[in-house]
Amino acid sequence: MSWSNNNRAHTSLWFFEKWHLDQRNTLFTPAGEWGTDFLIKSSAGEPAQERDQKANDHAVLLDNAFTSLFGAEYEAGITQTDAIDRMADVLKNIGNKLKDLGDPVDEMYKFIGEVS
Amino acid sequence: MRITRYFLYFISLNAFSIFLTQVCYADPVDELLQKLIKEQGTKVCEKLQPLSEQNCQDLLAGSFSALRGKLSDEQLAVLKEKIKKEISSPELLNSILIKSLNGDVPLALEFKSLDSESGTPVLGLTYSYTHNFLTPPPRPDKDDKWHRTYSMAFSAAGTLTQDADDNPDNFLDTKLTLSQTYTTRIPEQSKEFQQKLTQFAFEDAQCDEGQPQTPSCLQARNSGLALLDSTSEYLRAFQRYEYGIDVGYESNQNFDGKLRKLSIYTRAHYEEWGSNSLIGQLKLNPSLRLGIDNISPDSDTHRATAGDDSDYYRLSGMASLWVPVGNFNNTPVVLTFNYRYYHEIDASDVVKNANLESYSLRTYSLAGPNGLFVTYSSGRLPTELVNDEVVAVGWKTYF
Repeated sequence: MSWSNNNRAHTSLWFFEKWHLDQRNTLFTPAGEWGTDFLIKSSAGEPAQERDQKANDHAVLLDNAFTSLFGAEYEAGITQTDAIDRMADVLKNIGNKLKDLGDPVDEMYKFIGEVS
Repeated sequence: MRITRYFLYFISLNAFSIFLTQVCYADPVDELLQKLIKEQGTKVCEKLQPLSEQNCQDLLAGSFSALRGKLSDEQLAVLKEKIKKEISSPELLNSILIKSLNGDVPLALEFKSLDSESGTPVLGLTYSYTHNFLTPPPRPDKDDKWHRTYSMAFSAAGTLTQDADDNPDNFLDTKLTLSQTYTTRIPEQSKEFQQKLTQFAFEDAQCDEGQPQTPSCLQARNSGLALLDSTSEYLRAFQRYEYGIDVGYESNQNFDGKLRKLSIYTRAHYEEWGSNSLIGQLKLNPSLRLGIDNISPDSDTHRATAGDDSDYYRLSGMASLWVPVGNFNNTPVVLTFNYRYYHEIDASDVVKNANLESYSLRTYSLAGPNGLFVTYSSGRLPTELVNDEVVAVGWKTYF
């Protein structure tokens, strides 16, 4: 599934990221093009391991936000570690964008009001 | 240049296949070729985006002419030079890499254009790999303010260039890490809060690009953002603190200057949360890493060559800062800074006289959310003898 504003996992991810990055008026579709360097607040020149650490930090932050603020639950058979590792893998890849994180989030979490 | 040759083959094969299937028996050939390039070239060039269509069409036409022996040596040299220039663009190589691997690029491979003061632009390939062996414990109790995890991970990272002597970031790092991490736990909100936030986000997203910004969408946006803002009344920052032990190797690209390393380190990452604090208002997002390393150099390192191949201790540090500086033409712009520092503790006179006691590298950049970046680096890393200044300009955009 592509980046869709009819998907509550996608819209919740977008809404939290735009608040977290203080880009409050950025619409859903253009925000999907944000790169992972921007999402994880990576600085140029930092060692690759530090960038990986920040990707992991951000995956942990998203897991916290989804479960505590949005009330999302893990899909059947998915653990917290699975969810964080999967998101971190997407965020570690420099070529990925916010829209590439949408489907993994949808597969790992069940958001309130989401139709199975 | 092997990669240029491959690109020539790629272009030529596409061109030749069109030639064979559709114009083999045509006459006059030149007229049909031009027609075909116009008709079929667009399809071929679509596969080679982000190479501009005009450049792609020119290269195709040149390749056809070259295949038919209609180019002079001088024209052929110009064509090769043009292909070499186009193929050296990191955005094209990254695009081909991602497309060929269906977006699942292993080792986080990325091409970069690196411009050193001492030479012409250099094409570099960066890689990074991490694998965690331990599973963190379950989520903490609701009353815990911190989430504590243990980790054991293998990681490898570096930058490679065709000629190691031209590599301005000639530093490969491979290690095993055992660590403990403390992470801020965001307090769990009420069911009502969670339902409203999810619903407001969904409603706001319906006012998308090309859609009218209706009052109900704007109301949902403001209400959702107000809910998130309210969390900064009791949460000022999202923080991660870590300490651990690293065991690994540092080397240059040729592996003729290896350092065996054992480090004890601590790391902190602070992200502002809302604007209910001074750091939050300033939008500062710092991270810091400090370590004490025990280094066992081999006989090919600069230090050993200078006359001291003994084990030694060194301080290592890294500081990063990420600060949004505003929106220009509706595009957010971020200023970033990174500083890396290495200093040998109680260095011998041999090391001091050879200027191998301390190393530092500072990097500044202006970046946007979609990948545009300009960076300036100054200094040197361990395994490098002299200071260097590097400007890297690239579009980190992928198609």
